[in-house]
Amino acid sequence: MNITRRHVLKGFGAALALPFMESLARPFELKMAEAASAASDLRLLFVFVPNGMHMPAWTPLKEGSDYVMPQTLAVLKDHRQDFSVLSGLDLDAARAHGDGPGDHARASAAFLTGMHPRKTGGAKIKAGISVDQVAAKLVASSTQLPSLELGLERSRMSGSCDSGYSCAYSSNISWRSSSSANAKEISPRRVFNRLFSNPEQRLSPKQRARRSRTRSSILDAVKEDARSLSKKLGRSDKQKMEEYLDSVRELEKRIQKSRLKPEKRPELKTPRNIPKDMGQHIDLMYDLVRLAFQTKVTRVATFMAGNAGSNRSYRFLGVREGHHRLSHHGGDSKKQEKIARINRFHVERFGRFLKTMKDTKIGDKSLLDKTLIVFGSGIGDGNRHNHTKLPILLAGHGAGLKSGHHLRYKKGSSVCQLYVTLLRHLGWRGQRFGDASRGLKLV
Amino acid sequence: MILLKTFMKTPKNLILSALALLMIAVTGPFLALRAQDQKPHKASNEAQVLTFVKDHCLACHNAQDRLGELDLSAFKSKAQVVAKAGLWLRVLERVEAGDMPPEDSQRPNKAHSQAFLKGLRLWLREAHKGHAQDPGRVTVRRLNRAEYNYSIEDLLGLDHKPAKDFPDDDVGYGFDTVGDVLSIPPLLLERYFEAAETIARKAVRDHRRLKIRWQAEELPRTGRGNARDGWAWLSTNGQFTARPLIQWPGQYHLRVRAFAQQAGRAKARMALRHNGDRRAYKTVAAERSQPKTYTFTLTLTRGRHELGAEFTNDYWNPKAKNRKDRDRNLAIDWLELEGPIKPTRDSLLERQILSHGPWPEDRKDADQRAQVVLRWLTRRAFRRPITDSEFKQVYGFYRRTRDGQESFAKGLQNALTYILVSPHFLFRPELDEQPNNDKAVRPLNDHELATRLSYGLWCSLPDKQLSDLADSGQLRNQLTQQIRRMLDDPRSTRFMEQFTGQWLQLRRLQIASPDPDLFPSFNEELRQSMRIETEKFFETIVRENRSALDLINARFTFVNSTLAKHYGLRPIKDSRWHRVRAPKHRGGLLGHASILTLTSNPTRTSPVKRGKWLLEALLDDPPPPPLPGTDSLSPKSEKKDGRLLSVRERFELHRQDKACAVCHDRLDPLGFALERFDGLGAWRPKLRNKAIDVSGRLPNGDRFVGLTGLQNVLNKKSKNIVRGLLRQCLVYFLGRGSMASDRLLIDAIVERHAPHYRLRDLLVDLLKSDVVTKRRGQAAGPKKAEKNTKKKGQ
Repeated sequence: MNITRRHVLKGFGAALALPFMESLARPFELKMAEAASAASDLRLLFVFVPNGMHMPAWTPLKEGSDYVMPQTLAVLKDHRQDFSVLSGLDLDAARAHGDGPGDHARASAAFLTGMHPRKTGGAKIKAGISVDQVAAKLVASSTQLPSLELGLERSRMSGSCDSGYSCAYSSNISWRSSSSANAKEISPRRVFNRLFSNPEQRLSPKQRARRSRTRSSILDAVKEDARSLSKKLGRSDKQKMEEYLDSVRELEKRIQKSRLKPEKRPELKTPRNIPKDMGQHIDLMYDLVRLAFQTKVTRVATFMAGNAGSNRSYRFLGVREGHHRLSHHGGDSKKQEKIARINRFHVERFGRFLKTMKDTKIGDKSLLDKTLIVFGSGIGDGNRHNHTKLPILLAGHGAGLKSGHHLRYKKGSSVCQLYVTLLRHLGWRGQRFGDASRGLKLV
Repeated sequence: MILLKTFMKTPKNLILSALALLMIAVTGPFLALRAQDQKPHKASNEAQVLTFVKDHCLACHNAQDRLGELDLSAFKSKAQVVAKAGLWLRVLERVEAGDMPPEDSQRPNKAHSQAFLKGLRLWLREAHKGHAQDPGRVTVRRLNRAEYNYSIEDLLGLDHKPAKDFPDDDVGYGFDTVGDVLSIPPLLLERYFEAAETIARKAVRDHRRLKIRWQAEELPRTGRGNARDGWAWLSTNGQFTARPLIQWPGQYHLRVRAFAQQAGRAKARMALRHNGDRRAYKTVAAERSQPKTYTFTLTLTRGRHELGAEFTNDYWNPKAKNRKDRDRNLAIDWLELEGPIKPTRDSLLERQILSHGPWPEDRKDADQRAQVVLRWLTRRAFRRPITDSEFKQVYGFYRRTRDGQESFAKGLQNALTYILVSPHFLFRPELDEQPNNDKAVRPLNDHELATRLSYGLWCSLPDKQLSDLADSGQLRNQLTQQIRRMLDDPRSTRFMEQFTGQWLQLRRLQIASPDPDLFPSFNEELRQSMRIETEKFFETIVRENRSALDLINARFTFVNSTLAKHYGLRPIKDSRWHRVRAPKHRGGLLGHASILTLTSNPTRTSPVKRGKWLLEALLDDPPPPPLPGTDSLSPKSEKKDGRLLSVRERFELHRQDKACAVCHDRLDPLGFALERFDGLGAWRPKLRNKAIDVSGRLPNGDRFVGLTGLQNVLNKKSKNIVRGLLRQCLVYFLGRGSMASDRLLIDAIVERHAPHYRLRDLLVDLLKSDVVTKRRGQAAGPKKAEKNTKKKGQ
């Protein structure tokens, strides 16, 4: 059975009078059932940290499950069984391949897309569809929002971002299509309202029905506008209209699914706009991911814990210098120690997140049992800007994953192989993602 | 073909002179070409140029070393050079400036250099042939955040900045006006929709006036008393309470018709209670024979309120001699709430509605009014005449809403919501007959032109005058006057703010985070003052049509009390901005605290960042990025022989590395000249009790000292500065990256306005040029794009 918007509209009119919800919910369930049933509950989060890591303090020496945690990872010792360290994965697409400098912009643009971004300051921007978006398409039917894009820092507002690369590359990791990045949200308050506030609850059923009727007819009309405009436009302009149309369709779906909005607001109070304290900001963003996963408003999220090449200073850690500047430590042990301190801070916040995920119960399982999280950077050693042997953690027990190991992959293994594995858990039948056509052995 | 026609129309000598101008501009000290140079003598010329490259460039700029990320080894013929004219233009400029080949290499003799430059210039001229004033291809623009806010402000008179909740716009080629990177992710569309609904509710409000009357006896009460003859009595202290729901915040009148049965010395007192608190008192002197209406004025916010009329001074003295003097009671007939008496300002749409008569009541009247105002509104929002079917669409939203038994205002709100989400409003489409033919150049139609100009200079929609001129087809006849009018209009401040925020990178001041321990004087107030100084400074140069070189040399600036203190000037007592004579050591942009702060690190000044800013923003010659792993000061160089080295000494060590020296020989001296300004741009003649060395030497051998010396150096490059400014303006106005052929246009303008370079005149010339007032189709080359992908893709 196909649910068209008309059906939904009719449904809305009688939203409270009829057992309409059940009648709609069933087809969604059916669709879900088509996906691999074991993974039908899987949630995915991708966390990006800027400027790589101080690798000597990151990579364990020993492989297997009894590895010794180096300094940076040691802050995760309480969660040892909840994640694995994946060493030796490369991100080949972020390398120059003749395009010269710009490793930071490439690292973020390629991190989840596995594609070599086209070097341009604006025209003909091109990366690839990112893994979270492929995943989002697979699970979208079961959630209200296909995916959630979060970050900490605003896009750079002037100048060039990285050596001739448009800022779109360095301030986003999620790409809906090869030419269009998904803007991220950095204000916890706005994310919260987007996820959970439901002003319509105040309206009477009649008002609600009227309102959604008006909204739908407006969206119909603007779609028509865009289509007829598009016919008269040139190639790249058409692409912009396509983008617009895609977004309109997305919004339509969202309006249709607004019934999926949780009735109860979660226990978190509407958070503040952007806390001054960076740790609080990060914690809030993680909390929002947890809530969104818990209530299943969405099952796919990305979080940029800093824009690529971020030059933020971490004064509260006693690090006055900018992060990016520091990462070019030139072998200075004092600077290296400071970078490790920044790395540890990010890992620590991540550890807190793992704990809250574990403490959140869904039935007899924890939320972490239903989630897989990739945490890492598109750059290995910030000093050398390299894209090999990336720092990558895979956390959570979603899809029944047993964690707690240090796995070292052979030379030339790609982080895209990890993505292939993750996507297959969602029932993806594609052949190739980025430079990988095979998955990764995860135990 | 059209391009060819335009070309033919232009008198040939004009083209030649434009080309000659270009030559003059790029030749600098070598001056104009002699007539015989115009004839390319191919063979010798080709050999000369290529030999020079081989002898003097390839030692470093080869496929292995790629110094400065530049590899010239692949260029084996003239055709190959011409195909990469943009790159070779930079080569030309560097050799002209004497920066290359570097001094420690074998220097070519002068004759060889000149022959090389001459030959290369001719080739590059050929490369541009046929592209004079090529408007390039501009991707359809959606409104950015600033433009959205200002468009709403000018369209509806609402200045609540709805775009503050939108995700950030991405930046391309340094500006947020580039259509290619202004994407429309679902999140943004969601925000557009929400914003449109909110704006619609504000733009045309529903019940514009509330008037409710409650009979007192029907209201809940406290205190004792009963009702008689329509009067409700309070015979002990107590109150009647009404609980209205306020939709339209503002000032209201609460009227109470009352009289009192007086007794005792005082008259009866009545209090207004608002949400439990007593707010105001009235003495009720009126008696039964002549009841009076007492009026309280109060401000109500949106939402439910509790309003009470309270009797506060009950009096009961049964022993009083006079029976009439024993009991004081208050009698109330009704409470009436009316308002808002001073509603928040009417929106432009409401004013438009009211300009045709009072708020329409019956359906027929309302429908007629809706037609009139919606036509007016849609025309303005879409920035062009609208078609019948477009009007029908808009009006349809109104009509259907009314058919659903909803109000006039609601109908207009729905129509407005549609308008604000429509791509005709959110985008600025310019429709071509041949969108996919890159030879098809056409003049913009008047409406497109009006829109480009108004978004360029006002970040917003055309005003009535522009639209009227466009409607009557007169805009092009008055182009110069109109551009001048627009520049003189206060709205052009928006352009100056947006442009300087990005060109001079003032927006980065917003994220500057000077270390609070080292720079305790830094606070929000200082941050904002810094920015405003530079904005006012730029604005003044434009408005007074001063020389663009005032950016470097001006002897005036603007300060408020905060900044005066920061600069150590005579204290300013009031809170206004003052135009003052700049201190001797601080003329022009390079003495502005804004620039000096945004080019500093949190803990110290950064001569490199300052030098880079100068090259990037002012000289239009951005240095290549540092090579990975080489771009930090070596930690080992902090001390030498147990002595702490100064930053300058450390940099000098750093420059001993040839790979670094290529750029840093250009960057560092510029920055070091400004070392007497600290990380916040405050004056510091000494550092750690030692005088600061601010002398420098450029790769071409020029020596200079301090800001004054630096100003002299920059004045010698005045053409580069003006050219850079115009090039950046062009990117901002057009929303596309700059093209090599833009040089022809810009050089001609620069030449025309030398040596005074009056900034307003420069902008007028730029805006009325073909590049801005025309557009062309796009090359139909998807194949090429695909090839590219295959090479680099998976």
